[in-house]
Amino acid sequence: MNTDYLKRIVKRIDDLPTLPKTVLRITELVNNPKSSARDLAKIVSDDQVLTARLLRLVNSSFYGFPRKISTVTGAIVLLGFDAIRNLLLTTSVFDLFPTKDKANKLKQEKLWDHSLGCALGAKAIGNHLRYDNLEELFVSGLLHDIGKIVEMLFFPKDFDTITSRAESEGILMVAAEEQVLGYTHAEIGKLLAERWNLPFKLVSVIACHHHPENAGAYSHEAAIVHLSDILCRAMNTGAAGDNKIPPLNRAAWDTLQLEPGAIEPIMEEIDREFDDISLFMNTE
Amino acid sequence: MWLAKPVHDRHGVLLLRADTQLSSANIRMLKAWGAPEVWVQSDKEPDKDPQPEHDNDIKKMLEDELEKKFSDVKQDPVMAEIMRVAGKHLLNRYLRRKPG
Repeated sequence: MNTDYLKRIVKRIDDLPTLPKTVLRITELVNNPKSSARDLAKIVSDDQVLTARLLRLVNSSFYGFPRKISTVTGAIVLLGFDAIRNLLLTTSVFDLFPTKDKANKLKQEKLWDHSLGCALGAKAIGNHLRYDNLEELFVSGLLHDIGKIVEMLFFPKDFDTITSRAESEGILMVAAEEQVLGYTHAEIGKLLAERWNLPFKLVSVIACHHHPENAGAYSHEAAIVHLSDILCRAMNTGAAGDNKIPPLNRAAWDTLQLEPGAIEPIMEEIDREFDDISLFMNTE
Repeated sequence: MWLAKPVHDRHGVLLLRADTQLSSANIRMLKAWGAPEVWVQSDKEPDKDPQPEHDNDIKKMLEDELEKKFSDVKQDPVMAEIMRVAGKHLLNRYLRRKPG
């Protein structure tokens, strides 16, 4: 792939979305071990939209708290720093890509559904493996195909050519992208994640979800998202742009040390939680 | 057990959609939010009733779709297991959502 060429294309897109500054400030603050709940509450409270969103989400049926939570500090104490960061990051990312083109609306919704399923799957696998930071896995799964959203919105003709070719030739979207663009959604996603100053771990997982062995120190996280992607494609959870299943990366499977018997309960968990989470994501 | 109708709290806020499977977590949540009533579907377990011809056609269609999707990877035993579970899941989902 010609990286310089790809970077020039991405730079040229003036309206490539940027994350709200508040979300970036929150990300920095959460990464600082000296931060307190009060510091975080102050940043969130300064942003009326985020405050309203946070209180609406924390009071939604998704969390099921029996009493009304009316303060930002209360929400932070109940959910924790990382959960708040990921909650706001997730909902902000959804907002960044409004669907203007009606023809693409369904495709984009299906792609988000796939991403949501992959997020739930990553969390379910992480839970099975007793991974520490499940919220982080959730966000990794949610953003793993962000490069496809960029393709769809900023290269719509190429995107149509890619998906048509994937369908007519019965190949994976990633292979069709190589043929049509000479680079893949994973590389575009990496560039966008870097532009957003997302944590390096997240950048690595987005870049390497098809080849987790290339994710270095984060190959375990990339392997989790890689497997989750496969499970969601198998279950038709949303649509990833093609109708094929990527091969299971053997090194990734070995890294996870997951027994095959765990697959069924994990897939059941994804299915069970999907309706709940999509309801919460669609909350207006 | 599956919901026959959407569940709302006393203020009309939607708590769960129709056709949602009632898990123990869902039931706890409904109790916590004081859901006034819950309508559940009669059992629609896939194995209980003999499948009419239409269901067999659907089953065959789902199997064919999975065969095509997994054609390059099903030699891998882990992928074969994923394909098996996916087949079961897709059929159950169809039976769960079909009217009647």
